[in-house]
Parts: sequence; C-alpha cells; structure tokens
Amino acid sequence: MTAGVIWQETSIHKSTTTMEARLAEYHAECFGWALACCRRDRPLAEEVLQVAYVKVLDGSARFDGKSSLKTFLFGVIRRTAMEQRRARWLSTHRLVAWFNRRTEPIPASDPEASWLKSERTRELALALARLSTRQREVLHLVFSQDLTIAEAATVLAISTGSARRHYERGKARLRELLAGGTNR
Amino acid sequence: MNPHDEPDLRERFAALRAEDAASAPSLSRVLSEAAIRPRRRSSPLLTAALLATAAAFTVVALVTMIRRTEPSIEVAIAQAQSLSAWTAPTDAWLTLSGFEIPDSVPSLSPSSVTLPEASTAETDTGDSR
Repeated sequence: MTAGVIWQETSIHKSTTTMEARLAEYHAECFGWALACCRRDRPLAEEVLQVAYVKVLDGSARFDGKSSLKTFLFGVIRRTAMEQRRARWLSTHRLVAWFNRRTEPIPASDPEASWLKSERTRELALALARLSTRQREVLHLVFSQDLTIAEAATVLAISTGSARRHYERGKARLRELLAGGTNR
Repeated sequence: MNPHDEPDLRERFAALRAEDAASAPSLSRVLSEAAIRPRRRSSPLLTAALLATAAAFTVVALVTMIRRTEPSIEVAIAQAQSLSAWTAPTDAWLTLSGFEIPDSVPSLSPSSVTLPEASTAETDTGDSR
C-alpha cells in the first residue's frame, strides 16, 4: 500500500468520523423529519434514516456547504423517503397489501399516531395527517424544526413564494382542524 | 410569518418534537443497522431496458392512434357522395304550386279594346274648363 493511498484512506476515515459526530448533533431532529416525511410510519422512518446516513457517510450525497448542514441533511432524508416510498409502492407485495387494505374498513383513528403519549400531540399528528404533503412538510419544518420559510423551501426544492403559500394555507387549515376536531 | 406569533401551534409542535426525540432510536443503532443493510442499486442495464420498452410501447400506441384517426379512401369517397346527395329539408318550400309566371307580354289588337268617343265641345274650344 503506497503512502498516498494510506493518506487518502486516513482522510476519508477522518471525514467520516467528523460527519458521524455532526450527524449525532442533528440525529433527533433528523428522526422527527423522517417521521414527517413517512407519514409517521416508524419502521419506514428508521429505514429512511439508515439509507440517508449511508448516503451521507459514503459520499453519494455530498455536502457542498451552500446551505446549512441541517438543511442538507433534511433534503437527503426527504429524497430518500420519496425513493423508499416509491420502492415500496412498486414492490408486488406492497401492492397486494395496499389492495387488501383498501377493501378493509377505515379505522376510526390513525393507528400510526397511537403511540404518541399526550392527547394534544395525538390530535396534532392526526390533524397534520389530513393536510396535503407540502403543507405538512412546510409546517413541520417551520414550527417543529425552527427553519425559516426560505430554508424550508430549500429543503423541499420549491420557491420561497410557493413555500409561503403552503405555509399560510396549511396553518389556516390546521387551525380549523384543531378547533373543530379532526373528524371534520 | 413568524412562528412565534402562533403560541398554541408552537407549543403543540414542541410537544410533538419532544416525544419524537424521546422515541428516536440511538444513532449507533441506526448506523450499525445501516452497515449490515444490503444496498440496492439499480442496474444501468435494467434501467436502459425499461426505458427502451417504454419508448417502444409509446411508439406503437402513437402509430395505432394515428392509423385509427385517418379514414381510408373508400370511406372518404362514400362520405363525399353522401354529402353531394344531401338536400336541405326547406328545399320543398321553393317549388311553385301550379301557378306559372307568363314568360311573354300578351298582344293587344284594336278590336279587343273599346275606346270612349271624344266630345265635340272640348275639341272646338280646346278648353275643357
């Protein structure tokens, strides 16, 4: 093994370790965002997080420093969630499961939110589930992750104006749902 | 636009975030599971084959559609014939019911017209008043 290769491997190892340390910093927030991207499906969110972290650590998703690391990580998670959902949808097993599920009666409450402890939190999760994907994502990024609307737009790869529209409409709809109960 | 002007929503989201964070799997667990996870990479050959199949289907569908929309010559001739044989339902109003307009001026002879005789007084004075 030449000195050049050894140096390269050492620098890769170093950068991986640094990135792992930075991932640890944002891990809880990343999990929350993964849950939001996966409609609070925990197993899928964990799967998405695993794949997204591998992408970041092996360099197939590269951080170029144009945005903050948090914004970059959220973008990778969002794209990975979309890929995983697509892969699930395409798999025959899932298609059959989806077909069977459609024929079953719809449960009164969302079981994915049932593991949430507080009643208010469960209410919020159910109300969020009734918003459009974009509205839910923007509201989560702004309220839960403390991003600005412009940063949320970067994560979602949409214009700031569009993000603002989703934010306003989503907020109004969410207020409506929370005020009148989620059964409306 | 500021989320801080929505205290109720902010509080609810904060509670949700806290619950999510509390239930998050540890980073080491996620990374160790990620390490043993087989990575699925789509083969470029498979992608190319899928794209080629989709393109072939599109071409076949387009050709079929174009062929269906273009009528054959026989059908076009038949259509033209039927169009030329067509008459308007109001054409019947234009036919005359037995009355024919004379096509020449009737001739008049002196024996067929009786003219009144002119008075002599009027002729002499030349004044009718």
